[in-house]
Amino acid sequence: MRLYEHEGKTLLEQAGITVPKGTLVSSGSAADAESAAGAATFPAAVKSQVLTGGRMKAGGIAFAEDADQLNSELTRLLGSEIRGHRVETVLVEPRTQFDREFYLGITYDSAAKSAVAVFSQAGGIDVEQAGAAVKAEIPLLLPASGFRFKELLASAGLQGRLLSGMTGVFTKLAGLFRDYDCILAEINPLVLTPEGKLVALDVHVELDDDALYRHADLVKQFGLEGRDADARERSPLERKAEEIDSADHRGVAGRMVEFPGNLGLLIGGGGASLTAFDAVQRHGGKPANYCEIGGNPSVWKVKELTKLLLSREDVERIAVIMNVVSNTRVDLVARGVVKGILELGLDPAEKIAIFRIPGAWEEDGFALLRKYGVPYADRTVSIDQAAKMAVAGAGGER
Amino acid sequence: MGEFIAVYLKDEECAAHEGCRRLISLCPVDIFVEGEGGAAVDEEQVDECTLCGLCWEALPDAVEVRRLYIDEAEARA
Amino acid sequence: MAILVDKDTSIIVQGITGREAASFTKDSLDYGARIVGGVTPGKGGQEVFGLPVTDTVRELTERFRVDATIISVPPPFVKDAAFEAIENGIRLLLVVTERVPRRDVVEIVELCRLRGARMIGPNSLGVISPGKSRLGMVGGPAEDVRKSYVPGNVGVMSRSGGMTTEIANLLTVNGLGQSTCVSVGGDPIVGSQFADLIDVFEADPETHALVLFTEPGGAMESALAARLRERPSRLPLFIFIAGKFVDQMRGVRFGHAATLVQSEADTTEAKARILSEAGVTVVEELSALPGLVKEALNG
Repeated sequence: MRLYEHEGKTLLEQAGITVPKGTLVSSGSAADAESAAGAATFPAAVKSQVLTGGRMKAGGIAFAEDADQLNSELTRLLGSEIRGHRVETVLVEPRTQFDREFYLGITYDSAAKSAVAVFSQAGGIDVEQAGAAVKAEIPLLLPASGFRFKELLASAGLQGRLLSGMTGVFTKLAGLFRDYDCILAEINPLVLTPEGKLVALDVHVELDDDALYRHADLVKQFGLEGRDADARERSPLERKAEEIDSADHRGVAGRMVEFPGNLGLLIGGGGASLTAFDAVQRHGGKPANYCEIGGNPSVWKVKELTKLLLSREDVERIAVIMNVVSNTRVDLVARGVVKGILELGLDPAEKIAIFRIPGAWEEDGFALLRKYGVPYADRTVSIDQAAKMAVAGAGGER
Repeated sequence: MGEFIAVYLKDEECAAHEGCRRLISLCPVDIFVEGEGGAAVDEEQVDECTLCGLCWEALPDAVEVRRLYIDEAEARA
Repeated sequence: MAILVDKDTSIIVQGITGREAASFTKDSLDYGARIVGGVTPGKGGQEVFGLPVTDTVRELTERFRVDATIISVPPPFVKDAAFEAIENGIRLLLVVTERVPRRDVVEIVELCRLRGARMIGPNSLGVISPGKSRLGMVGGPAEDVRKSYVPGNVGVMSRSGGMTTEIANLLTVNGLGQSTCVSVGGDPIVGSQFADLIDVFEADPETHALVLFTEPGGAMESALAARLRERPSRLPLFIFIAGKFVDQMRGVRFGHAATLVQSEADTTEAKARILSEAGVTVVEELSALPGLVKEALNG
């Protein structure tokens, strides 16, 4: 879960890293804006708070020389969209003068299976392209130790007071990364001011969704409950699928993403759903959605999802494709799909392009599908062959 | 009766079984509910039946479960 | 001799009294796995399927030789369970649990390195050497396992648990048996990646070819490519990469926790390119896989 810049800065400040003293302005509060303008130090940085990178290039960050300019920038930014994200709040800070910019980051390297510290003397907006970064693995079993960062920074050519100051900031950032179960804690840029101070001008913190349970304090402080783990906007249909999924704990079904096609898909599990979606496209089919099912969903859940898919007028038929299942039951999924179609007053034999789930309770599942004339395929038909059948409309056995 | 599954409770047998009500807690998918003189079948729920057998093993004379998608002779679960 | 898990591999289950663990323990015993006991703190002294349940791992390692443990406990307890196993001398850990905090996974990996232990998972369905034994739940109940998996000479490694069985089944229905199949886990960081396990498969005289299944996201494939550039494999290698459509959907997660395209290197296209350059046959269509494997084995 990505934190907003101002939340990240709160964490940095708590960790003892210097950040500009900012004020947060929310949309819909004129009083907020006025007091911000009154309290601001000019020149000021005006920064839209959205959960995406590249704000500078997208016009989400501006500078104001006086209160009039600040007001007009606030009016422009609040309620606008930056890279598809609506701006609800804006952070107003004194603009910091600086001589140099650096990049500091701590994240996980999945190939090395380790936390890594990354440093670059070329901080700024294009650091990813700059390439001149140095890296070091940071063990987590041992208590955080400053020398690892000192070594890394020295290897990058830092010396004297800058080396000592930067070592301190990096060690604190590493402590924050560990203490809050971050998967990314990045300061870019960290600037060196003419007075010789190190100040974090921007920060990107991502928390581990799977570790949020041990950070009740953060969840409360920032109101993280219910914040979407990824910042993608959901369509009404996708939201409805999530509701269906959470209404019944049995099985996973409802991680839905809409596409503009005419073939509805109920597919699973994780890997097979990707395989099936690709195969449908490969054979010229147009998926109407991605929707992963698995974990032995209830008949009700599958039924409701089936109805939801067919509620879209452009969806002509649905294909039900899973890998050979051992936990999910073939018969229960078959019941759900057939029942959903029957409740809509439609004919399962017409609406199901192919049903290909072999495995647990397949005899019962196939018997049920035969009764309703639904085309199905067994384990001798591979996932891509089943997708081809669905697209061709030829179907399998009935 | 559901679309795929039918669950029958034989009243006289059920009444004879003091423990008929225990089907309510026994069934993992909540097919049995409180009813007159013991348990009743929630018809909304019967299609969730997983054919686990807990009910008919507990009360073989009182409960019958049939799969409506299987030919008459073999439908009894 | 099968790799990782064989007929005489002596196994314990941590969290044995849990619903899922009890179920796969029974299925595994039916399949012939040598499970000798289980651990559930607070339930020591009970029995499950005739197996002793203890409060601590030590009570079992004192009584039996224990080669491997299956960890199936809730996410907050996985790290402690893994540490307990490692510190009591167990050298192979299979972690079934999903959604383990990333910091905990990395700490387990670090302790494994210090002690010379190996972790498979988290979020792994398990390891199976068909006809011999199984660690975990991959393939389900014994009768279903026997339909999908048969003994033979093709190794399988997959980032998807379901696709481990799907690929084994595809090989089986086309007359190709398997030596050992590993569900490596679908999480962003797993204890054993392709590049870690390829050595084990190469050292196995029963493995004559190796099939991999992968998805967008993660760095497992670039690590494998680096290993192959440095040291080519004696085995013919095949990979099927699912999720081409995800290449165009940056920032949206599909299926597994690690299946997310954030940069160019995460795409199926980039993975196919580097693996192909490293000598791996990239299989475009799943149904073509058995034919390609047969060709390599007979050629």
